[in-house]
Amino acid sequence: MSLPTWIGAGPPRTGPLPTSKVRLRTSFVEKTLLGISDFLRRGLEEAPERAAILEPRAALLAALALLVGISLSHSLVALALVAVALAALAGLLGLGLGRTLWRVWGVVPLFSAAIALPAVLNVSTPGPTLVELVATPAWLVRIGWPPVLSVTTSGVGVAGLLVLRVGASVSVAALLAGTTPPTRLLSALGALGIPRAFVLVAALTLRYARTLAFTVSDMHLALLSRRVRTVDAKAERAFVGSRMGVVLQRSRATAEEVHMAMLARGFRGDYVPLFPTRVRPRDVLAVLAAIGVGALLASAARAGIP
Amino acid sequence: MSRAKVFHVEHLSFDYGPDLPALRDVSFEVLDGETVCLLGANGCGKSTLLRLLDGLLAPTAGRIEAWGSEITKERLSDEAWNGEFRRRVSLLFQDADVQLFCPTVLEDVAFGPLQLGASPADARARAEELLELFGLAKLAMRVPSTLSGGQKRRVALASCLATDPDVLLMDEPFAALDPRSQVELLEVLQQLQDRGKTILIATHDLGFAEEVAARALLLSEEHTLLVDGTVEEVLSDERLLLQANVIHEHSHRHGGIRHSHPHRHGARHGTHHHTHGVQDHAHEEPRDDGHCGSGRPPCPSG
Repeated sequence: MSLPTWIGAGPPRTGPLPTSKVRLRTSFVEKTLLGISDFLRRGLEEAPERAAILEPRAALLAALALLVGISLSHSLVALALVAVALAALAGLLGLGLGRTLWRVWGVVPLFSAAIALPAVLNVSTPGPTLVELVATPAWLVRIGWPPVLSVTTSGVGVAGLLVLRVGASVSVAALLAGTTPPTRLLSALGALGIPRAFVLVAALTLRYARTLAFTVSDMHLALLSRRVRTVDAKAERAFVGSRMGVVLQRSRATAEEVHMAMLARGFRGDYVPLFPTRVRPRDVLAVLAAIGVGALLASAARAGIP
Repeated sequence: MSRAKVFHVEHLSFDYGPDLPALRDVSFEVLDGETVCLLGANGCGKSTLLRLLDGLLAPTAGRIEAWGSEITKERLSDEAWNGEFRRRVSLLFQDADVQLFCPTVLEDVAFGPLQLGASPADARARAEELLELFGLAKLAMRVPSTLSGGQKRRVALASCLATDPDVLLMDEPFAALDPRSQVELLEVLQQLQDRGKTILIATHDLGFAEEVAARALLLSEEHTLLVDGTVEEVLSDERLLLQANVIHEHSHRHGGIRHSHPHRHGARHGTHHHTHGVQDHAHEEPRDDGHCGSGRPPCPSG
């Protein structure tokens, strides 16, 4: 076996590496994909045992009680207080106050505010005017729009309610995910009577997501190792498109192999914990407290709390 | 005539996170045309070191210079610097699955040349020539993930060679190869050496290290550089090899007498090079002095 003649045909390049003012750009698509992959990797990392202060079933029930209370609440003050309390709790439990605040409130406004923004205008939520924006074009007035486009007090209230509800709910979910490993949560789902098929699908989804996240970031490293120059946006889109297919195929193959390895070791759809958990008095107290807070949240507006 | 310095590594440390050290205060140099083996047990930091040398990871402390200029995030985002660096250096990943990201084998091998500005026809010709060389021509249009482990390794190597790099960083290149492919790879490495390529090979296989390299860097399980010397020097120091956990104390019976000696794994040392009537086998904790557990004088290895 003889290597092609073009390999090593020229003298080795030993001079200093050249520099330029042209920067190697990472495309928006690539950044987004990496961001999602990084988010999944971090999100799916097993939570440290030291933070698992509640029994998984109790943690799940407490979270559900809070989520129901949050979704029924119409009180901005109560929702804001709960959001602050949840952030403080995350800090106390060692999840990192700053990190939790960023994960919850750094992301929530991006999505929920985009949806809630139209609600602040008098077009969708009539009410007392807070700020006048612009005069509405005549043709829009003719089809029923108000003559002046303005922000209304009630509109701000509606949008604020939506953003706070989403933020508080995400805080609950982040706290639950940060203090209970995903595998324990899945077993808790089973123990609470959720159908086995659902738990199995959730377990598979979790594994696919994890495999996908690792595959994407590893492939990106391999790409960096061979990428020489910035490619134009069209080529980048074509590249990302073809890679997505490869990633999907590979993660499916890997996840199937993992599933086969699990079956080979007797997996029948249930995660059996090595250290079975026991419901302690503090777990019961936590659930009762969460139900109490949920009930307060749901009735706060009726009690006159704005 | 003195050879140019390719890499200059100074007090390099890298951590994957708190309490997750991968390398500790490692310093060495690699000269143009050298073949250097990075030896060490699993998890000692060999793969991390190669990724650092390829600029894929940034050091936690210390510095790495490539052809006299430090590898920094700033330089790696400089299109000219990065382009020339990637042109000169190629990394063969330990996991071939990671490396092969194109829809077909042919596209994967042609990826590098296309990146370097070769015309599609030239890139294809190069790729086909390499696939033919590695006996993979019939698999050119296959999806890489459907190949066997050995085939993936050969495609990954072909992908690296397609850009004709000056420096090859190879992470466990002999792993997952059948004996014939291993011999073929040894031939390829020999030819690359003859053509002046600089090669760094991470391996824990002492036999291959002895076959391919003149120099070896031995990493400890504490992620430090234990020794930097010729392969003969490093491989003859059994105390260091035991310390680095690349060989282990092997204990068994010869006839009725318990007998213990350092034992190597590898292409040339993968089998016992002594005859004995085995009655039982047992592994003992390695001893620092390299002596047999029985208190007898040091036994010849292999």
